[in-house]
Amino acid sequence: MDNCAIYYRRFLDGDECAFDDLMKELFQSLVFFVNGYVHNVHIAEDIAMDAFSDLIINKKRYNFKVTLKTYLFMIGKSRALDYIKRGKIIDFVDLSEAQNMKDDEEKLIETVLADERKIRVNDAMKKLPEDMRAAVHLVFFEEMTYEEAAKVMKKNRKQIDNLLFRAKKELRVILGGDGGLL
Amino acid sequence: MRSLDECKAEIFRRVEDRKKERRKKRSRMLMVSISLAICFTVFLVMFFMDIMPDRKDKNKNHENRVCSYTTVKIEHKNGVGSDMQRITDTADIDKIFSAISSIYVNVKEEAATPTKSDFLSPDSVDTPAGIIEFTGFIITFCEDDKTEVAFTLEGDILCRVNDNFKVKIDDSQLTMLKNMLGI
Repeated sequence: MDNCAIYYRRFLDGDECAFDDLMKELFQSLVFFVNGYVHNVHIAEDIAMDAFSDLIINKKRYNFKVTLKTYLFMIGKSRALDYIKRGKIIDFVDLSEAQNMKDDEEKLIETVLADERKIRVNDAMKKLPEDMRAAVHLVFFEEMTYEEAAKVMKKNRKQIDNLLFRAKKELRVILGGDGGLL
Repeated sequence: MRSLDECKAEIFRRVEDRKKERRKKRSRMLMVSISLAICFTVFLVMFFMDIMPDRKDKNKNHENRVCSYTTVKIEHKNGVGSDMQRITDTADIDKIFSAISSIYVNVKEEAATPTKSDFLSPDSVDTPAGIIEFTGFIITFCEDDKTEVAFTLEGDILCRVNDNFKVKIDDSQLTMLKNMLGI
């Protein structure tokens, strides 16, 4: 059982503090992951909160067979895709609000990606297609196994392998001389 | 961006909201299903239950009952006054009717060789004085539509009033009849 699952088990047994530990461990990275789909930190935050509330309401749905991180990321991804599907209307954002959002995004990146190397890779990833970006994110940033990443992305292991292979190739081109970061 | 504590508070607020929503949905579903069940029951009662018992009762009347009388009135006249009692239990009515019928059937079978003691002539009792001074029981079988068959029991003489057919009954028959009539 992974750490997060242990926190969740403690929370289910009535330990409220365990939820704080769970949030510390997973919340920011979930927001960061969802932000990769919705490209809006506030909405990503909203979706992440929804995913966490799902975890509390449907206590029996999580069966402890996959890691809690994988489970939460699966919920986050499906919620993000739902949001994108529903909200295809062009949304105009205030200039000042857009500036705030950019600041928030930078803060989030600094929190989640502690080291310089990851930040540079993340910048380069913005030029990748969505699937590749998500696969790289899950495997390199969230340190998930290929199987876990495959579960979150609803693909098989081979497809993740291919996506990562092609992503690495493209990232090397994008990063140029910094290709050795990978 | 919100702090983790703010996010946590927001998560729990959402959880409460969703729980409330769920409870509302559940109670709404419960109310709908209860009202549907009530409607269905009322429908059944109105369209089926009204008809079915009647049929059953009719069938019962035709198949199981010896007679179709619903009441037996027993009037006791003792010369001074009278008191009346009623039997409405169909099983008891059936018993009384079949006992009286069997008495008459037996008499008819013996009619080929009538004896003076058993088969009395109608004229022997039916005098004006006899009616006035009648002391005994008048047993009247009544149907819903007021059809009546009356018998009189005076001592050991049973008389069918319609045709004034009188029969002398023996002690065992008298005791049995009195027990059945509760007199």
